[in-house]
Amino acid sequence: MSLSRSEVSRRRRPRWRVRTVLPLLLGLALLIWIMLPLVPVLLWSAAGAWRAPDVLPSSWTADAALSLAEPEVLMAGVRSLGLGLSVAVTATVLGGLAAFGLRGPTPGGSPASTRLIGFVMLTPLAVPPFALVMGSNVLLLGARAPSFLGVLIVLTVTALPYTTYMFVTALASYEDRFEAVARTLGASPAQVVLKVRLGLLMPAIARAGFLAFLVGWSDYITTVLIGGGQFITLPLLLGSAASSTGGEQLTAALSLAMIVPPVVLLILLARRGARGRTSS
Amino acid sequence: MLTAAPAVILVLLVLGAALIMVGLQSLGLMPVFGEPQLSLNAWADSTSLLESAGVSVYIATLSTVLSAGLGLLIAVYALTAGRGGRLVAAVSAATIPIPHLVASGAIGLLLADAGFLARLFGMPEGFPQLVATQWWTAVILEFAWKESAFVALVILGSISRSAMALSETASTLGASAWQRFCHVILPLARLPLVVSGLVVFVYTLGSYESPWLLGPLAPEPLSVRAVRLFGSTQLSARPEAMATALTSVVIAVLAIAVGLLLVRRSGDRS
Amino acid sequence: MSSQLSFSGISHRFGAQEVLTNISLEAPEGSCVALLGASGSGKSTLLRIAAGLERPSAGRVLMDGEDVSEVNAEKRETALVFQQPLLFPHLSVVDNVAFSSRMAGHSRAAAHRHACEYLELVQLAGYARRMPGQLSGGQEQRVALARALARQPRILLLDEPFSSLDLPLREDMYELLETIREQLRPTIVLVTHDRREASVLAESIAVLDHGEILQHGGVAQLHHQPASRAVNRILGGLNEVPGVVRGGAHHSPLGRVPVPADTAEGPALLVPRQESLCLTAVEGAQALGRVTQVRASGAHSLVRVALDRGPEQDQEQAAVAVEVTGSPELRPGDITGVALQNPSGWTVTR
Repeated sequence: MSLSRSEVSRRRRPRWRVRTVLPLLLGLALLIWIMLPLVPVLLWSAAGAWRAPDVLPSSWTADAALSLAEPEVLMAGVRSLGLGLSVAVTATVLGGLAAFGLRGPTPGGSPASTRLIGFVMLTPLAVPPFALVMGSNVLLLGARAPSFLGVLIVLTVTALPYTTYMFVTALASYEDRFEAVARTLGASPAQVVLKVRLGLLMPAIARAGFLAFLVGWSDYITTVLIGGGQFITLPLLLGSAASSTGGEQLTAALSLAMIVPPVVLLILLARRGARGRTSS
Repeated sequence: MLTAAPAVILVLLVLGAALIMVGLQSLGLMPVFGEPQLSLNAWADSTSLLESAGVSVYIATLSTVLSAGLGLLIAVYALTAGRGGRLVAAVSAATIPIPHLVASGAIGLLLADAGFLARLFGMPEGFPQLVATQWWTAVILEFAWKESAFVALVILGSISRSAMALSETASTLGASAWQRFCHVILPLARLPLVVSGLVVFVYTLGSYESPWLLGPLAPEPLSVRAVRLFGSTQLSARPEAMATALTSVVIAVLAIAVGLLLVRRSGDRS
Repeated sequence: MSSQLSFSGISHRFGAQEVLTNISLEAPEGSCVALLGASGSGKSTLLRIAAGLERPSAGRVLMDGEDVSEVNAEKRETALVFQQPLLFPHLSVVDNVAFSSRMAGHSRAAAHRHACEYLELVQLAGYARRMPGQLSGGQEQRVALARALARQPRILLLDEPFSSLDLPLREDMYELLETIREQLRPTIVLVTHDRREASVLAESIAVLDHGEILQHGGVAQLHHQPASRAVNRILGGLNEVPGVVRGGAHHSPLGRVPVPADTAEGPALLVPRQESLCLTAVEGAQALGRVTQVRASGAHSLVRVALDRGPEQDQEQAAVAVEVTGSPELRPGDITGVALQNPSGWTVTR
């Protein structure tokens, strides 16, 4: 009896191993795939001297991090932030309004025209950004639009499909009876919009705003072509650092400067979302 | 309906005007200097244009296939591997806000000659060149790294609620893990996979930063060629830049048409 | 605070489809009226019209005799509770209950004080700071009730409010509603598809079918004196025994059953409820039949009996269902006697 049991366990052990080790290896491989490109960025951002065959830097320095505090870099950061926030506001507001317009039976709106509008709102996805910029550049120059405004207009168009789609999906599962309940509780039409509709749509507003912020924050090609090198943002500094030889430290530091704000924003949004769902 | 007006007008105005401008300029009808004159000169150098188009389609196709495969793998792992799966899903989602420009810089630091990866392996003699190769290896890997996380996010967003319950039901009906993958998860994931794959294809087709930083000097993909010609001081370059841009729009529209056909077919099936 | 509510000649159509036809109904002050009907009978639409969320195509809604048809939902002083609690997910429990006070312009502190009274009423005072997602289904529905009551409505409208709760929770909610009625005496209009719920909670029931009121009356009246076969069926009556009314009595395989004196003569269906029939010994039975099915349901059993044809030749074949306590010692095929427990019966012709 005891012999047969040990036999069973001996026969089962290798299978048990394969079953737990294989997924573990796969998970590890996926984690390495996702994290590996960020490792040299972290190392270079603090590396002093790091000569070729060495796996790790031979000395460490805060020079690269300190170079981020130089006025031109700070100004570029402010411009990037301003661009990201501006695109977030315009694309979120316009996208939200568009999604409301696309929603269910409206007086004077046929299903065909609703579909057409939905199609139009997705068309910017089909046009590569550089083509959009080159085409609109002549017009913006002709209209003598300031380069910030020009960049903002083009990036808003680029971001609109994403924000509109976010609101369309949020409105698809939107429960109209919340507004009915609010009205029977004495809320005026304006109060319904401000206290109920905005509150219920806040997660969608946050998601759409975040996506639109990213479009402005991380744009390179639109700023280069329309700004003509006059409107310097963080991506422009990073682009010139990454394309020149020997700029590893600066490339790494600027990369971190561009990664950290949106990731922090994402974590804040995720935590806020989780808190809204579970506790006060 | 009315509230959609500002957004729709903005899109129609900017997009419509931009496309008309691109078209007119590519035909020499809106020169920077001089008299407008209808000419097909910009389209004359068709070998170079076709070569660029080929490079762009090659990069976009391989990037899409890799992203879709890896994204599906990440999504399935996230769904089936418990806590480890949730960790992979969270880390993968956290890379979404990283800009392509940053990712291209990071991949450069990783894969360059004497880059971090080569140093990890002790810089052996036969270590392959990855950046600026004729196969666009680093460019495609950069796209695959960024976009596989996007594909995984889209798949997880659309099936994570239904997939586990249906998969468990299938296992009570006697389906093995592999059968559950083939007959439950894969059919559920088909639509989000095709849609996100389409988005990836169109995006990588028109993307500039990665091929500019990580690709070889020649041949150029459409985006790099167009931007170089656009910035050139030669008078003839502007129409050529516009012809290149228009070519990329045409390919993107064709790809979307094919993709929507695929979406409709997989929609009919499910 | 409570008021009388009446509907006067309400009709309503969605496009070409008429969903309510000439509805007139009255809910006296402090009473509870149930609208009973299957889904699609138009009962929820009538409630939305009462709340002012829907304008009727024709007819008027009156509160204490005053026409409120043109008054918007937010001004109408009615409160509505749906089957889903619909607690605002972005507001805490106490902010949900304080919602109407805040809308009326009261300060946050005053609104919270007011809300806490109502949370106490529904025994959830300790849950004020939680978010809706942290409550159970029953607790959420209690908060929804407190939120509606905190509006201090003249009319409380309940649209299937307990249907998504399981049975023990539903019993708790019935108790709670009883307490609320004692303390606040609101006029309540309750929409439900559950005849038992309607009977437990309401003084009177209006049976709604395909947009029309088939009958409005007291609970006992609807059960034992239905106006039509449809009302009998909607209230769960299983028996329709064909026969003829002649000389103040109904003649059928169940025998001669006295009916009210004003009953018209001619063919009619006797509609004794399964609860008011009983099985008797074969000897000297009023009617005899063969058991076709015995179905147990908890403490009761339902026995179906195919009745023998009576002495009169023209009588049709008839079957009845009899509810008995416990499980009877009968099997299909056995012969049994059947009798009415009441001395008289009730007939319908439609």
